[in-house]
Amino acid sequence: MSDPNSKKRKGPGEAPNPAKRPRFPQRAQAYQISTTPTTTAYPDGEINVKSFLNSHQNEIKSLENAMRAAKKGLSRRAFQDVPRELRRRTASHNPRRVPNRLRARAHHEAKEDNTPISRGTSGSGIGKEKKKWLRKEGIEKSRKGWEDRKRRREEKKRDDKDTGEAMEGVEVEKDTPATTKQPAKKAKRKFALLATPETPPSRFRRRQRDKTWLPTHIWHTKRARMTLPTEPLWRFAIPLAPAVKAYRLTHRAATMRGAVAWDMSYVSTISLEGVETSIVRLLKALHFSQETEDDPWQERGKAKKWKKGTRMWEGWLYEREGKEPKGVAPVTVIWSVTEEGSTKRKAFIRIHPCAFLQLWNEVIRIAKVQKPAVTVEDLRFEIGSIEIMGPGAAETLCSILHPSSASESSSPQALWPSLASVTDPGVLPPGALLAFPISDPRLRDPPRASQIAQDAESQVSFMETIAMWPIDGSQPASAIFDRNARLAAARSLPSQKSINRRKSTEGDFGEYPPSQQTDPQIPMLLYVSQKSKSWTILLPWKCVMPVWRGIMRYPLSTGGNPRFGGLKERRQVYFERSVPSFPFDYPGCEAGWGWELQERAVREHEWTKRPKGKRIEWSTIDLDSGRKGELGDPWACDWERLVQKEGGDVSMNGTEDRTTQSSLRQWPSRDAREVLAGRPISPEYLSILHLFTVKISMVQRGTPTTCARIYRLPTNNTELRSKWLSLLPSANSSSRKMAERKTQPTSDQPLPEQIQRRDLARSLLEPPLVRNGPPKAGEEDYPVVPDEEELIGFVTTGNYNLAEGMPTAVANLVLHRVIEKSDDWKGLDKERRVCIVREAGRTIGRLATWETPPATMSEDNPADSAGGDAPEAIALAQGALEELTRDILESCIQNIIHSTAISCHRTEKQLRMQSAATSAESLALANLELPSQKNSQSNTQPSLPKAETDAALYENGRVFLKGNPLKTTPEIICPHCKLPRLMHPMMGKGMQQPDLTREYCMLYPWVQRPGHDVYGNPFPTDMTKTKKERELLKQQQKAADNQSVGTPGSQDTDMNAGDGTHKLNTGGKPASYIPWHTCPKCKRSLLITRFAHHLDKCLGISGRQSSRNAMAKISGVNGNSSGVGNTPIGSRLGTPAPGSQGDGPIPKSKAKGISPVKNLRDNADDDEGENDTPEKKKKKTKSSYVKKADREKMAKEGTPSGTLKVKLKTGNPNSERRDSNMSEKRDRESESIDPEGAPKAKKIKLSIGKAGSPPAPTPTTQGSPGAS
Amino acid sequence: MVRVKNRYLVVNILYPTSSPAIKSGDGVPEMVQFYAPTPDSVHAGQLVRVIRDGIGELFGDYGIGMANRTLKITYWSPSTSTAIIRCPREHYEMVWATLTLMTKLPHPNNTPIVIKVVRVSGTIRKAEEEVIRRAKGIVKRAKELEAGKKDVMVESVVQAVDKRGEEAREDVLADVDMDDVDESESD
Repeated sequence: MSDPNSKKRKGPGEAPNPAKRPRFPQRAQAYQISTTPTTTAYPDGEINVKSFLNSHQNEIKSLENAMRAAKKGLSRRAFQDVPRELRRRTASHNPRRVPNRLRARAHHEAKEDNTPISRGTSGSGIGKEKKKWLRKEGIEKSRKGWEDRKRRREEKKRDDKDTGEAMEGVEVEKDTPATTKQPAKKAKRKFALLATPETPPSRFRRRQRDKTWLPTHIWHTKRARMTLPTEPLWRFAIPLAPAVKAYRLTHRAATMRGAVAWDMSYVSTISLEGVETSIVRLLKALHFSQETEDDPWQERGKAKKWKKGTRMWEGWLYEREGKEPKGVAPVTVIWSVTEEGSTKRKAFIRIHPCAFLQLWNEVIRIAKVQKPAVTVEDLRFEIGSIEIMGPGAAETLCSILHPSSASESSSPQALWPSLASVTDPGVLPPGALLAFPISDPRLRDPPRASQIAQDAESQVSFMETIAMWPIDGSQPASAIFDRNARLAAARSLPSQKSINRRKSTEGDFGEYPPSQQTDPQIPMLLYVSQKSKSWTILLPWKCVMPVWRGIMRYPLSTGGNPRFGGLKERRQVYFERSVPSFPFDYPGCEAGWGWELQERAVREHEWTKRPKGKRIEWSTIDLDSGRKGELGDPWACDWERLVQKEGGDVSMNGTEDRTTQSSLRQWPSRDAREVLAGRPISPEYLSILHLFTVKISMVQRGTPTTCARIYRLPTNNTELRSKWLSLLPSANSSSRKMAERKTQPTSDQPLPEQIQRRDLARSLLEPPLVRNGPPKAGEEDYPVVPDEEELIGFVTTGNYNLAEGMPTAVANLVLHRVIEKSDDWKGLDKERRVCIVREAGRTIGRLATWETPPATMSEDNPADSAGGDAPEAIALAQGALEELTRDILESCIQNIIHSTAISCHRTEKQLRMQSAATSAESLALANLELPSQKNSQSNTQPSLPKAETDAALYENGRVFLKGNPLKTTPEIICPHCKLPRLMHPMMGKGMQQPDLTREYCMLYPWVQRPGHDVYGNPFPTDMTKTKKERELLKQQQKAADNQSVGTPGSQDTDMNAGDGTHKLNTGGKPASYIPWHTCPKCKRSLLITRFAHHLDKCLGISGRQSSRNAMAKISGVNGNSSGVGNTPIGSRLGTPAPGSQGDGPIPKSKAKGISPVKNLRDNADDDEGENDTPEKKKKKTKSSYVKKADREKMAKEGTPSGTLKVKLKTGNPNSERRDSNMSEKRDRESESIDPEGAPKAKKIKLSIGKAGSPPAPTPTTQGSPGAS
Repeated sequence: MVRVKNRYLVVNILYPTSSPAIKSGDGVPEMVQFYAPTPDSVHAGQLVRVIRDGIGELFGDYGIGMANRTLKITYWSPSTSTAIIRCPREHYEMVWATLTLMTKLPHPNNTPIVIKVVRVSGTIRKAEEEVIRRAKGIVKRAKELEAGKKDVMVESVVQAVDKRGEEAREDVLADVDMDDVDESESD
């Protein structure tokens, strides 16, 4: 069409300005509502009901569509649609950071907005400097290495061929302990072998060389942060925490609604097989569960059922040897149900992997000495498990774990679905256990919500089930104890492909495919732990994944799916229950100690990673009173230090962790509880470090974290101790309790309701006692942290506890520090349970209390053990507060009304009294006057003034009221002007037309009228009017005034002109009133609207002249001081009033520079002024300057002579600037130049004016004869 | 920033006699004829023009200047004779008045009509909802009519009118009586 260089103006559509492009282009479609034309709606051109209905229905449809489209058309950015738990704060707008499904949209939006998409400088595909690609190098290297190896292999092969000896490909070796024992196996198996994980597929093999993946590993790696590849935990790759935000969600799911599941396949299982007595002896040798109240070996109740195989038992296992055996780990022991015809029994010991090896060594050693021998088997990679917690756990499991075959009514399979309504595992019998084979959950996918029967019958049967627990009698032997069954189940699991095929071909659409004979029967064992309130499922290792997937896909009845957790969530759940979790909170065990050492290294590494300015310098921590530096290792719960200090002979090199460990003992909480309650202890208990777990709750503020130091109250410093104790709020609470007790008996006697209410109101309204409370942290008198000998332990887990709504901690204390003297041990009093917690690196200690965990875990009330000293909340009856508030408000309002009415009444009465008196007095005076005038000639004695009205009696200056002035005096008379007052306003609210024939006092009642002030004047609105308009208005008003109503200013004249009917005016100021103000310098009255402008001129602080004046001022200071000494130079040199300048020949001032034109005019003025007579001058001043009042005064006094006038003016302290200027000049003239022809007296007078307010005595005396 | 404020008038065109678009059958209920369709020749642009002219006639150039700022037919369905008209918030009454005073369809048709403003709303959504609500009501009534029932609304109106008539008659009678009394007293 045209060449690009043509300078022709381009058409409007050709090149749209890119800047004008709309940012969020609206979709035109959204606002175009489709309609049908009449011809299509009525095709035959005839009206009929059917078409009519159709057209209206179409209209409804199209409008609904339009509304939907409009809603969709609202601009919503991609990152706004990111689910809540995936939202991020930094780079939230970055399209590469949004979830995959939104990424395309985000990219599109960013492109539309012309937003540059920043790419990170790390990761793949982009990169740093020349290298570009971080992994490039590594990949290159590995490729090279592979090529090298290949070449070498080929060479070797060639060599081998030469030698004639073939060799297989290189196999990746497992460095598990089992491989080391491989040769021993062949000869004679002396000990049981440790299990080796199954060789993974080759592509995963290298990644599992020194660790094992959980069966759900791949699922988890997509959704969770795992342990680092180089740092596996307990030889497993364990999920640490979900990738999404999970802290609060986990808390909710585990306690309120939903469920949290963990893949616990890393928990080790040891199988014991042998005669029952041998197994029992083995467990007894390991002191199984010696710390619990229940004896597991008794032949009744729970213990019997456990040994029968229908319950499970949780307890600690201990080392075999030692006077006081050392705890290994908490374990779960499950027996298999006795099978007929077989004397052998089986039992599983489930133990945390960190303590596995220790236990394993113990077990195999004891198993060997048993007769008949116990076969020990390591089932670590054969049995996996899933643990699930939360109210929705039971329904989830009931839906997913579908029994593979139905059986008789009391079997676990039959009862299982009825347990779906269990929300708290505490309702089930302790250690309840179910075992039955399940079908593959993948066949029943997607899982459906389990049916929870709500009718009464099923409720009753459910209660019966829980109470009777018929499973105890009907539980058959579980197949999970049978190795063959486990392997068979794992082997017979169909592939996902075949399951998909079955689902698509068999069964109806949407139905689960019918079960087949060949379906796998997955052996499953499920038990409920009361301690951890969780359900645990044992499954063959390979079958964990299908069940896990099923659980994660289950639709909970409360909405959503079960969540999954990592190690962090596990610890969180335990922490929120204030229960110690193994191994983290058991530093006295070997496993816990190992964890502690590991954590120390991690913390230290974290610290060293930080730049120097951003990490705590431990050595500078000032603990007050001369102590400097952190106690012990700041990254550690430094138990060694406690050991060192105590036993002086225990030589510690600091490196011998083993030694420290051996001197530590984890003490069961039951023993701790008993001892602390007062059980006498043997002194050897104090020889080694006994740790026991406690729960710490803060008294005031502060959040304890891991490694926080715990001190007892100072024992040797009573002053400090009392200072710390004063921080306890105990005194306050006890007084409150006392107050409660005091009120208790009074409430027994029925008090009148009113008094009760009054008392309550008083107590509520009472201002809170200004208590000089305990010092706050950071204040001067906040107590310092105790010395190191008061250290009793360390916090192992601490945080803000969501379950309790306050910070708590799980800590370990050392027994011998808690109990100082072993001889007269009486148990701890309450004061001893108070401790001081100081976080590592802090200088401020916080007061806290500690308590041992409650005895039975089923009781979910952590406050129970705290004792009943918590003050109970005051219970108010329902609605009491409402009632109370209403009463208080009502009485308040009544009081206000009452006092208002009273004061109103009183003023009114006083006014009437006054007016009665006034009227009586005026009457008396009138009476007196008339006779006196009459009798002046007759010269009689002056009669006493006396008068009597119907309201008052006037007698010689005293007035006596007759009765109630409110009744007797109908109107109020002003005591000053003796005129009646108007009772009602003349306009606005409550207006009444006054009697116009009468004259009223000027004090009118205030007017209440919108747009008017209290005088009834409209608010000034005509300020913007021009002067002309204002004058016109004024004239009009004047004209109107002349016709009807007088202005307040003309009151006097009105009074004189009164012709019977007094005109009323509204009083106050006119509407167009603008206030005026007197200039402080020249004393002129000016409208305030012009005042500022005037001041500028008058004070000479603006205009062209001002700068010159200022200059003159500055230069004149050291210059001419020829005049009167105290005359300010500025006053002479400042902008002079016209006429004042040229009074004498002062060339200097003229030279100072007024513009020539001005000079001319001034000169003309001056000439005139010089020739002026005083009269003339006076006339001039009158015309413009003199204040109105002065003018009036002058007008009144008349003008007898010129001198007199001048004198009046000059004598006036408000004399004007011009005069003063003039007089000043004259004064100077009188000094320097010969006086002109002016009269002498005048001159003197003028000098008075100049002298200012205190007139000098001599001129006055001189002047006054002149005046007179 | 302040956005331009509008009002949306939901408008129905009613046909007291008959619509030019459609031949009216005999058995068709009155209601259906009343809400008859409008010929396709009346399109949105024409409607705007008519309204603008009407405003000019009633309010002069000032009116046109004021009301024309955002005047637009946002929705016009001839088959149901319903429209949503957008106009400036300050001057929607001008538009309303013009609509009310329109008695005929634009030129070629010239059929007598009544334009009824059924709703004034501040958002188009509420206007649309109102149209939907009314359409549903109309559909329901039409269905009932088709089923052979009597039109409840019309019936009730008729009844009310009858009742009023009777009351009025009674009132008049009473007045007369009173007059009689007065007369008799005065006599």
